Amino acid sequence: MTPNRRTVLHLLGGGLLAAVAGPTRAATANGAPLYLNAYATAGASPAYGVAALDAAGNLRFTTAAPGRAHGIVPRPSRAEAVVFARRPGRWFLPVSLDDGTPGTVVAAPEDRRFTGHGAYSADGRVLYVAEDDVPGETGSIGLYDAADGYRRVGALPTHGLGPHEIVALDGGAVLAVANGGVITHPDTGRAKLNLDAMDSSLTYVEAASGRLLDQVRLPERHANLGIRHLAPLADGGVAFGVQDERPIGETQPLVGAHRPGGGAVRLFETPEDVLVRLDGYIGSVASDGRLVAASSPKGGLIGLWDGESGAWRGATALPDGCGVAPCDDGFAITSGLGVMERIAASADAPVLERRTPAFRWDNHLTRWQG
Amino acid sequence: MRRRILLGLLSASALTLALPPLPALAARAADQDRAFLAGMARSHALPRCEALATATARYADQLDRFAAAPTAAGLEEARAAHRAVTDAWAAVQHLRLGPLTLELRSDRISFWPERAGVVQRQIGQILRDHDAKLLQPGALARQSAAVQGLTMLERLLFDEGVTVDSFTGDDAKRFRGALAAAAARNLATIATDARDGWKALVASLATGEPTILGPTPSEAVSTLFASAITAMQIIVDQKLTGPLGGGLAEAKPTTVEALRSGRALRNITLNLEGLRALMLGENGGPGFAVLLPANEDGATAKQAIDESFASAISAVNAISGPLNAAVSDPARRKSVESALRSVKAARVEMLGTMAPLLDITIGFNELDGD
Repeated sequence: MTPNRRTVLHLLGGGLLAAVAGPTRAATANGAPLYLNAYATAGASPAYGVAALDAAGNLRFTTAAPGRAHGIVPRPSRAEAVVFARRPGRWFLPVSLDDGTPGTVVAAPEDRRFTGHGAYSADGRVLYVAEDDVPGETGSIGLYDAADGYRRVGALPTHGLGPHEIVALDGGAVLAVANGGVITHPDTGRAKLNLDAMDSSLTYVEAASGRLLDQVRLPERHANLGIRHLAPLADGGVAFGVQDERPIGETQPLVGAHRPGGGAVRLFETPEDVLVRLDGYIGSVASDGRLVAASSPKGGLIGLWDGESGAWRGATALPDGCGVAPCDDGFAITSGLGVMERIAASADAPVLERRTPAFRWDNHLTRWQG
Repeated sequence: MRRRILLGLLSASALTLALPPLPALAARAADQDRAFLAGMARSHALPRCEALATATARYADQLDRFAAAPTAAGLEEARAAHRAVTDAWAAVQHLRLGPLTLELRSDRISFWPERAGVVQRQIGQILRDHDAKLLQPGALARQSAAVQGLTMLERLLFDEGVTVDSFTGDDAKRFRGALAAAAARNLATIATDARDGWKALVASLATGEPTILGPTPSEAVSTLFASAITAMQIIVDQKLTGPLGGGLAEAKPTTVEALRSGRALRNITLNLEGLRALMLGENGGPGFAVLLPANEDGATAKQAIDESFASAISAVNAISGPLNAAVSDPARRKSVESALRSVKAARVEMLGTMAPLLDITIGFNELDGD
């Protein structure tokens, strides 16, 4: 029997709908959810921006961006989100979620480059932006005052190298940072400059002080893997996805989890043949709090694990699929071929398979419940 | 347990259970892909890696003699051998997928783009310490990639002010020559291993079994094509756009490849010739063009690739070098910008004309990970 995206969750047993109420769901619920995704228009000279789709995959608005965008983070208690430039990023852009009206572009300081992700404080006042401190060759978190036109008000260390994704934990008191471990420089773009000495880590930073609360690395035999993407779990920790920066010719675990103060990382079990397909590359991680979904656009595959036990739950194919976000009845997924689909929690769930050929959905899908 | 090779070890039932079916890759027949891959490996990858192995072995012999008895003529011969290795390297640099990727071989052969100051600092330290243990067989292979291959050798032989006197006299100076000889020997080992890797691949590709290039021949063809696109992107982004900078005032002449030996432009030409050969075939073997449909569209695409690469190569050759001087010179910048446009145009032919006819879908998300 081959699980497909309509039934894959159904095979896991009941109770899943109830589980879909994790930390990714916004506090307010006075409107239908929106699914936000950076895009490039199809064609030889693409235009870039951010789009909002409804649960049925209909385009609700598109907003042009100054360049190729990456992660999107909704501001708590507001109909607003911030769109980050793809690394090495020089800007982020606030966008109204009522109608897509763009705010004022915020530029990175000369000696910083944004890495494409960020997180808000619980009250939506402070935006934490993952950035590279270029001259310092170290990871940094820029602090921006959302109530004052996103004025830069300070910075915290990530206590690691080459940060990529940041997520807020514990009501925004703690910032979990995926430090990919790879150094880049604006002069050489996206070229990786320290692959032989990469040093990836997952760090937990106290938002109020910048203090390092906990720090964990992968076991030495997996030192070639960089932790790059995170999703909060119901137990107060995070699920993470890694990328193989220095192939050693063996299959290695690509998804795992960790809880601050919880000791070593837990590496999720994945069938060998799936690891082969995932091709050493996880592009995005999402969780409903309990289930973890991780995508490999290189393998055209999205895998599912139980966040608590780390047990393998199945996979679904989506060519060039990368965007993943929890939705009411499973996970919504998007691809670079303009497809939005749903990994449904039950066989009764409506099938969603929507292609918008004019758009290529970029790496990350974010759900916002207005 | 090789990633991708493991598929062959799994039972068929395990496979069908765990994995959704692969997306259909329509027109190309499996035996056609298999024949192309094996033929390409035999006629293109293997001879080019063989040439690199030969050139590096010669270089090591040359440096052994020079280190034992440094003369001005010997230094010139060693420099010529270095240039020959650089040529052979530039001729395989586009084979990003496969044996050159494993064990960080590419970075160990040439650590570029460099992390500012790091290489200089590490080499300086080694020269100050002149620790004889580093000269023993296999010792350099355990050091940072920055001090293993062409990157260090170029500094030892071509740095400003280096003459035969730099290698003659006290322990420290003699160490410089011995270190160069050890580095060249290490380079030869890496090149030999990569050559042996391709030699082994010729046989496995012919049988269609899973290899490091992909779990199936059709996936190997797609991934190989995508890696060729990435190689073009590296020429565009790192080798041309980076040094050009945003304008004359922002030119970054010191970021060109092989700065000290002045090989930046020649390397680009050889990269493009290698990629053209991969597309069109060489030495009587097949290029990607053999997989094109045998109709007018196929013939047109082949011609477009041929012509666009010819234009790109002649545009690069038309730059009055060296590249670092050209990007800093208002008059000559135009020729660099023109070459950049031509290389981009050849890339567009690969992506827009060739890929669709090959039934290769180059994903948006899988191409250039984040």
